[in-house]
Amino acid sequence: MTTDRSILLCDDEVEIAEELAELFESFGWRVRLCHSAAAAKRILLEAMQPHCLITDLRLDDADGTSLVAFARGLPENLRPKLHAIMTGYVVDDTTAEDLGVDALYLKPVDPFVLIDDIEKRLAKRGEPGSS
Amino acid sequence: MGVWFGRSKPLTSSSSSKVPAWSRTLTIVLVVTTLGMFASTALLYWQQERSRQALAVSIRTSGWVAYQAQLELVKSLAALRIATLDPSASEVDNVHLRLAILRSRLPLLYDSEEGRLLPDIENYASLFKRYENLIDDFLDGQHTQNTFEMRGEMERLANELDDLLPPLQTVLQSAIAYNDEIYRREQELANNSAIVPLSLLFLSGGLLIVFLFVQTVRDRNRLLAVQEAEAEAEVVRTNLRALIEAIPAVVIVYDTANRQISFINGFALALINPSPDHPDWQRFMEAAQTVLSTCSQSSGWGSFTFQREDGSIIALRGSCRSVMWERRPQCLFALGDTTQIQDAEYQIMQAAKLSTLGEMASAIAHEINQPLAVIRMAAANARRHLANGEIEPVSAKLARIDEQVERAKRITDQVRRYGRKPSLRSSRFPLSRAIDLAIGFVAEQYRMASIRLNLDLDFSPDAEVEGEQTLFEQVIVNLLLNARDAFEMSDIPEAARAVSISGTSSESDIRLIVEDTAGGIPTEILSDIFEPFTTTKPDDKGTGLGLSLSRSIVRKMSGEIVATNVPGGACFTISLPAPRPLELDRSAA
Repeated sequence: MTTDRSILLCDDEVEIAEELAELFESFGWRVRLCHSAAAAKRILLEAMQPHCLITDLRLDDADGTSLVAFARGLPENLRPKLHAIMTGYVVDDTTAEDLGVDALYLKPVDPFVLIDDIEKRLAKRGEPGSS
Repeated sequence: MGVWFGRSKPLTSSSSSKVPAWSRTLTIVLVVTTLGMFASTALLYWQQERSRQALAVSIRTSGWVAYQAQLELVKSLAALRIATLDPSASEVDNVHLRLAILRSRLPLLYDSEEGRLLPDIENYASLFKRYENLIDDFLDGQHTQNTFEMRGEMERLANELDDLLPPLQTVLQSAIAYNDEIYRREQELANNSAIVPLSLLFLSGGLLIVFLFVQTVRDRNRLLAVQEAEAEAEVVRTNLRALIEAIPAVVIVYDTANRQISFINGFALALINPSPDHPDWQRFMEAAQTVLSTCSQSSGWGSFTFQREDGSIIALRGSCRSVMWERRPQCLFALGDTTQIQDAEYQIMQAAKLSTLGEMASAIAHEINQPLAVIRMAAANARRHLANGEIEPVSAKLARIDEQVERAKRITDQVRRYGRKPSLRSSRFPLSRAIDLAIGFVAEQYRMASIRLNLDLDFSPDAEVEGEQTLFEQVIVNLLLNARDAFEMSDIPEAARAVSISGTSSESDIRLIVEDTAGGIPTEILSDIFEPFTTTKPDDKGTGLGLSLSRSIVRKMSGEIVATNVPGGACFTISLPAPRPLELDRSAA
């Protein structure tokens, strides 16, 4: 399985980040992994321009929404195509729009459903799918 | 088991102190007057009798003197007549003898103590002296040898002395008459002599009777008062006995000197053990004494629990006082059965805990979701590896899953522990461990709220306090969550959000200080901060019972919690007594 899709995963829960990264990689994604908002910002500024940014809602050094806001504020050549938040908090009626992201996933989300959903969302935006 | 109600002092002692001052004064006056009257009567009687006797003797002696003088005169005249007829030498000598005797008698009539008592004797003194001279002249004269002349001298003298007879007779008769009068008066006095002393005696006796009457009346009144007081005391004893038996409280009298129970009321027998000789009672008294160790008139209240023979635990609260029981100092324990109250309190505490759990549900869910998320992803990867025939990576995934299951278990254990109903029975627990558990419970909340939590305990990790551990953890959780809520309601920047828990210990107590930088407690509610339903939180957040229950919990541990404001925030200080050394501790159960 090959793909030109990339993803930036940011979660201070190291185990979650590692497992999710492994799974994405098994699906042919290029994965960058970090555990803080500051690290995520550095990666984004390195011109990675991932297709997707998935961040935890609450990080040790910042709020996930602020990271998303930072990403959305990047120049288009640096900005991810899809922004998602994955959280274990009970967010009740909070929607993705409320958080300023394209998708909101609640832990423990089914990782296959997660990958499938992201691929579909990217496909809708005309981004290349997996091959 | 002794008598029902020991009397500490005789009732009469209080009655005697009620004798009025005027009554005492009257008694003293009566006694002194009576004694004085008796003494006066005796003295008067003695003096009167003595004077009477002395006077009678003197008067009789004066009569005798007059009689002797007249008798000697008659004898002298007789001797002179005889010698005139027979002027022999012997007769003449006899005349001389008689005249000498007469001469000695005459001065006694007017110049002696007895003679001077004779009536009008002073009028006869010159007469008697003239005859004395006459006799002296005869006795001192040279008598002629001529018989005829001698006869003439003696005859003349006899004739002279004849004239002395009438005055002597008069004196003698006066003396006799006087003696008769004296005798009559003596008789009269003898007949009437007892009138004055008897009157005095009657007066004295009367006074004595009055005194005795007054004394009797007073004694009777006192006796009546004593009987009335005793009757009243008996009523009080009976009522008190009924009260002690009827009161729904444990009443025990305990002799600490010989470690014997002197009295147990019916309620106590029913509550602890029906048999006063059962070993449970000594165990119970040891438990009670451990908490209420000071037996005095002003000892404080204390609470303790006791495990009965059937395993059930009862809670008691009361005090002990020193009393005189069966005439010796003992300790009276009066204890209320607070089991139901404590159950109700614990139910409220439990409800408050569950309320806190509800408030923390989101954070708890997040905490559990984290390991669940790891497990799910690791399981997905494991399935993928298995599908690819890769066995070795699966093992690592399973190990990770196992770790995360353990992590989730710790969280559920914590929740279960926190939600557990507290036990009535208190026990020793390590304070730092309880603080760690409380901090662990709110750690995620603090992480979410970006609050730094500093812990600085300056006592041994093994330092213990006595109480119900989960309830004490609830106290710390309450304080930490209150601080969190205060931060959330404030505009304190995340960087400045900090809560510190510091601890110090001494020989007598352990002190915990929970201090935050959330701005402090509004001064208008600071004094009531531990009262129920005092809160600064919105209605939908918190019950308003957290601090009130926290104070109850700390007080049950014989400690105290106070709230103050410090620069930048609030400060809660918890003081807990350091437990006694184990060798001195007597466990209740």
